[in-house]
Amino acid sequence: MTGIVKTDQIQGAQGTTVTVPTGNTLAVTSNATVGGTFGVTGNTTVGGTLVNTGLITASAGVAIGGTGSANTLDDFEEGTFDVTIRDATSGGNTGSVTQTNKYVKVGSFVWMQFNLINITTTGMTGGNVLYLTGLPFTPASGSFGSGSVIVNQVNIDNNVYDLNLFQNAGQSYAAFLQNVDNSGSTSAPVSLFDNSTADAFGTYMIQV
Amino acid sequence: MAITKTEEIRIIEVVQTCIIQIATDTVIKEDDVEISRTRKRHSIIPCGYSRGKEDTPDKWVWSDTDISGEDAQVQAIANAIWTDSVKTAYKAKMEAQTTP
Repeated sequence: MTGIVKTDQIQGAQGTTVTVPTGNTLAVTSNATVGGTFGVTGNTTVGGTLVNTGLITASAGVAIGGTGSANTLDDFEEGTFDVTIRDATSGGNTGSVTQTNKYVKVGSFVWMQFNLINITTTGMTGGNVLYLTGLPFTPASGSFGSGSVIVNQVNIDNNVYDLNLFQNAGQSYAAFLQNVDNSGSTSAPVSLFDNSTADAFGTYMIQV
Repeated sequence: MAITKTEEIRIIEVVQTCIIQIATDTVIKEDDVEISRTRKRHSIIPCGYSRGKEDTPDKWVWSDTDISGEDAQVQAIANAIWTDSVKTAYKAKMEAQTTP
């Protein structure tokens, strides 16, 4: 039969499904509304703008501008983390701090933002390096996190011109590095931070 | 209207042989319907060192990590993977880097 069939409903004769046989195509040339779940086992091509008001899940990733791994976003996550102020990378003596730290992970890259207020070092060993431990992610081999920090009440050593937060590859902790004029850098010990009044704010990126 | 707040460990992952990264979600539900989910992460390592800023690795003081405050699942994984040989390898790796 050719031509137009006018009907308000189509129902399967044998069951609840109306099947378009293999090799045939069901073409909808005007608007269509699906009231239930719309399942597609093959590929889907959308020529116009795709508007979705619900959640889009893409467990295999989203390819943008190409289909290779360099163009595929396969992970996104955002959250918070707390650091523990220590005079060791684990164990040792702990201090305290008021903190609101955040991270965002896009693909294999992670940005961490530190907001550390009133770093308290009571009970910590002054000569030991001060560490921020328990960080949410660990840099892969060849990657490291480094970023300048704004600080309050930190008594840097002589000839130091800058203070950085630094997280090395394979390490789940960070420390403050002092950049020394015309020399290398040194880790900042506990004694540089004025007890209960030192603050530090900074951001860096790592690859995991 | 019942509001509940629970914590769920969503991810426990071991990276670079022995570092355990834990992601914990805080879930808020109203009448058993989830209305909010936020994530917090932390990590633990098998052992750590303390040192003065000029100390070379032979002067570092090492101690094992206390995991008594971690979730039972995390403790089980840590106890399974943090063998003496793993700790030795981890120490060697950290000492080779020296910074920070």
